[in-house]
Amino acid sequence: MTEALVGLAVLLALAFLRIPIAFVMILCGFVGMVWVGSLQGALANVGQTAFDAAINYELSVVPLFVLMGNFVARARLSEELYTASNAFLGHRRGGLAMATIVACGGFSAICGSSLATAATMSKVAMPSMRRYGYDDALASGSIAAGGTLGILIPPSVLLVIYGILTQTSIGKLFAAGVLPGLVAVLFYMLAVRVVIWYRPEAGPAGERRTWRERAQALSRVWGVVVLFAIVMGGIYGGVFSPTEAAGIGAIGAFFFALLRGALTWRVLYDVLVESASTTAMLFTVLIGALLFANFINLTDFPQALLDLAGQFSDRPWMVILAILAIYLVLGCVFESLSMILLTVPIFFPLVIQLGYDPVWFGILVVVITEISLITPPVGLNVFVLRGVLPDVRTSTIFRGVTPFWIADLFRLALIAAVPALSLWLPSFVR
Amino acid sequence: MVAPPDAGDRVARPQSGSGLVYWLGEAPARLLSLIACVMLFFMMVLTFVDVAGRYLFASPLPAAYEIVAFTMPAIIFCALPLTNLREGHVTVDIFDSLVPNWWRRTQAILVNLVVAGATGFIAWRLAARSYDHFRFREVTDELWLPMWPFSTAMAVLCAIAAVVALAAMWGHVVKSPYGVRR
Repeated sequence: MTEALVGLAVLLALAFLRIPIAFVMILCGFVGMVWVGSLQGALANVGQTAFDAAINYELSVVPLFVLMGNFVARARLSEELYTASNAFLGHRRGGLAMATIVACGGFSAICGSSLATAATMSKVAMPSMRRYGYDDALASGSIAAGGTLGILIPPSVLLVIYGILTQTSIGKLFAAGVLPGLVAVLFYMLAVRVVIWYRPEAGPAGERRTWRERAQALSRVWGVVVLFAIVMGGIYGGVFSPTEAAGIGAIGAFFFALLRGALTWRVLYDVLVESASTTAMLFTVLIGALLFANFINLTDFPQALLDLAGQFSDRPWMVILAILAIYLVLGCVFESLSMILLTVPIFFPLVIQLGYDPVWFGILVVVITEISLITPPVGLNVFVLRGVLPDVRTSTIFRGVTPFWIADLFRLALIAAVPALSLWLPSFVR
Repeated sequence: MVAPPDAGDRVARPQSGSGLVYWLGEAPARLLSLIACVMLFFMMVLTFVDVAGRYLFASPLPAAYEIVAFTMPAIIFCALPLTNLREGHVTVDIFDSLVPNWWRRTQAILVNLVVAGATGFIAWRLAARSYDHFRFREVTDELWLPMWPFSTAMAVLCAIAAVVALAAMWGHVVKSPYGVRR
């Protein structure tokens, strides 16, 4: 018990000193294993873990989905999505912000990363909202919040990693993300309505489009629909494994970018090097998290937690509530992936012992991670927007994101209270 | 998932002492990242050909499973030097605005030293693993290839990544324009 707590404290302290989290976990995991076990065992464990994590067929789904997302981001599919959702919603008050949310949802269906979704959509949605005189806070807030959908609506890199970490079916996790994702779109649109109700001047109405124009705009989003249908249909129908689906999605996105003339050699190199570099970064974090988890599992900390949770077996929801509270706090400080990798190995056995569904817990974890992406002080989506829109102040974006953040809390409560929302669709997955 | 910062606006104007940063950092990192790109593209095409072969021609690629699995470490460890050089790892940087300027450079030097040490440690353990593979003549499941060349390559690439981290550290010492955090 003591060893694990000291390990966690040292881990946090070193991370705050700006040492990359991956290496902090590697060092703390190793020293911890030496402390609790033996030097020989710890040394062997490091080599074995690093080797096994790198040579792994299941994990090849990660670079392929990252690659697909990066190709899709360059293929300018985001423009069609925005035009289409705008044609239907733009004439309402706050309609452009709602259209942004819907377009983000659509983009998330072919991109597995929240940061890529926020960065890509901001380039299309922000200029348009500014032209119509939208308040910067509402405009940037809707993009930052809409961007978080990237990791909930499948494909999602985060759900893949959760699935591999906990041996949960990735197909089922992907199916489970769909309805909560739609609920999220709905709640975010309600949040826009509430903002407009208080301050109508924040989101003036655009012009109304004819049904003919709408049909035309809608017919241009076929690229997104085809990619989504092939990748997700293949996984749900049991035709492809997730890795194969990711490979096909990546090659599909590659051809989309190519046919639209968006791919020069320079862009191709950038996309590949960005994806490879992200992969290296993800796997360093993964190796670190595995080593740290190995250390924690050598201590009696997991057992102590299980015993503690056992006392709440007649009120298991209190344990879930405690876990969610811990995530909300950690989310203020930690980057999302390292938070998941660090905590899921610790909490997952608890949740399973209490009789909860692993797929449902995965969705909860992802939703809470979405919240952390827009929570100050480190909400990463907000900083991505800051990078793309240097003239908008960070505080403005955080102010704009607040109504969406509140909507997120309601959504989290709804998904926690109604497991069927997440578990109904996966029951059809083969 | 943090997209790594792009190196587009890096100035190629060497200063005294930054030749070392270039030849031990920028050059190997760039070169290996190119290999990582080729490997990633290859993996994408391979999974596609495998699936197409299976469903269209009823003949999947033999051992595609294993080839994909062994392409993974090539991507990861060929891209790791560049990630180290660009300081593209996930970092808790919420205190950056509170940190005084004089400490920043020292901090960057120390952090890179730790990164170099940890990467070198992994390289050492991978080398030990590869020696075991060699000693016990371990082979892969499908193609029966000996394992040790792969684990040796991983160890060597990881060691290069450690050297690159040292170069990045030196870059902060001499304030080199190469591989600096922006």
